[in-house]
Amino acid sequence: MEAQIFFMVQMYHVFKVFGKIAALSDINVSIDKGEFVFISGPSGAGKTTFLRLLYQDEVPTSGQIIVNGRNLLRLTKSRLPYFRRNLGIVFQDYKLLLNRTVFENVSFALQVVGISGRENYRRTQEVLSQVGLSDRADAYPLQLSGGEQQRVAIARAIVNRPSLVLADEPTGNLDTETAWQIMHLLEEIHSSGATMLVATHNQEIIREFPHRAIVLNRGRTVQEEIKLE
Amino acid sequence: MNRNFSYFLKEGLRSFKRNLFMNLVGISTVVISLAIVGVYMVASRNLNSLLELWEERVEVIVFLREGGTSKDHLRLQQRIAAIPGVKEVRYISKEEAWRNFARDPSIRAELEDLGFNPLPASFRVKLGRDISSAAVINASLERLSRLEGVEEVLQQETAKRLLRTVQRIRIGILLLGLGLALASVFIISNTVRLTIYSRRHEIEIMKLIGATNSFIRTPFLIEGAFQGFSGGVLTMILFFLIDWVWKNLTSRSIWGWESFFPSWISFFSLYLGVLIMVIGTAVGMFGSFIALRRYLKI
Repeated sequence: MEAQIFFMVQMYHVFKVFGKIAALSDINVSIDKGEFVFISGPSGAGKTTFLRLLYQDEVPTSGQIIVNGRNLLRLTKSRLPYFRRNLGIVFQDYKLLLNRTVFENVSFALQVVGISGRENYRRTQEVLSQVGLSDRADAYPLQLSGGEQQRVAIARAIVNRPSLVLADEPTGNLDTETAWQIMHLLEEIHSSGATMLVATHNQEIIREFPHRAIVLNRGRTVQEEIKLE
Repeated sequence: MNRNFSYFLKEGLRSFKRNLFMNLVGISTVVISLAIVGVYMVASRNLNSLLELWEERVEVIVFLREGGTSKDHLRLQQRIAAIPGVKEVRYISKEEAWRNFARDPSIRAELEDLGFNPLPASFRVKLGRDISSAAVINASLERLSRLEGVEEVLQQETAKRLLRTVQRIRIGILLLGLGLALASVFIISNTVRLTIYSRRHEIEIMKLIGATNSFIRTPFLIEGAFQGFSGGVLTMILFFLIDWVWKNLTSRSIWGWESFFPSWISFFSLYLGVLIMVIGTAVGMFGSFIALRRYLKI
């Protein structure tokens, strides 16, 4: 019981098979509360699948996953939306609603959890200023640069103050300087208390930021680098 | 639910505006389908009034045996009136029959030559709308001819055939209506499905950020209802205009052809209008519901 409070993520012998291809094989991982962890490895290594299992967009073929003390095997369909509200997910392709403004994209995530009106407005403004987009609130996603779109995606992910943030290649489509800005933003969010899981294939970023990296290759954990901060 | 209601309403309408093009496609489909259903309803209503006219005329004549007293006749009249399907019974005495026939001078002369009144007393029996099946008609006519004091029942076959035909037409109309209703539900729900397909990413995102199914569904239902409702209103306006034009055409003589457009045909009634709006709204919502089921399973 105590262990469950200490860990944010635990995976025990997790396999995920698509057809005949094993996307993940025998993954055993635990991530502490408040930790910042990279999931790294070449493309196709299973990074995205790893994250998708955590927000249960996919169900493991076998094995156990415990997120924030909750066994995902026992999570019913009707409880799934409520479980996801504790997560902030930043998608590789941003997944913004193109026909809504920046403000609407973010405030929408609050609306989903039943926060509306003045509280919604206040928190949306707050998080937009945190990611540096206050002046772009009325713009539509396609009017923004890639880095700005990623900031909107991050703002949407954290506006609910999640305890676990999952970011899938948050710097994937960005130039080096923008990528660095995004990484610093994620660091900032991490330092405010959230557990942060960042999937990236960018070795430079992993070298630059002193965090543990879980390295995947062909669906297996090959090594864990632990750096001291 | 209550707390979110204004959000849902606003969101439904806003999303209608955001997806204006797809929604216009949807509304056009609704209008076309409803117009077809509307044409059907107009046609069936007008045909129905024609059928009623026919039915009014269905009449059998029951000749009575000689020698009955007026008391017997009265009792018989009550018994006939009690037969199911009989709408009206009118007694025609020997004297009245005589008077009717005597209107023609040549027949009158022949009748007078006879020196007595050979015409039997009779009942004119009208069979009404509530005759619901051929079997009932047959049974009623059968009972009529077996009643004591009845000599003969005239026009049985004609009456039976006419009522049977009317009945078949009614069933045909009903089946056609059901078919059309099903087709329009199918077409409309398919269109709504397309509009939802174009927004599956939106639904996916909502699910991923923790929206419950009902939270996702409600604005779509409102949007679908709004689509159906707008389509219904447009269809109603369309029929109102057609009716207005028609009435103008029938009230005016064009090139002296006064009766070219039969004036008993009407294209619009409040009942029809409200029905079309209700159907449109319901089908729009239903279409959304069906279409969403697939995407909410993800």
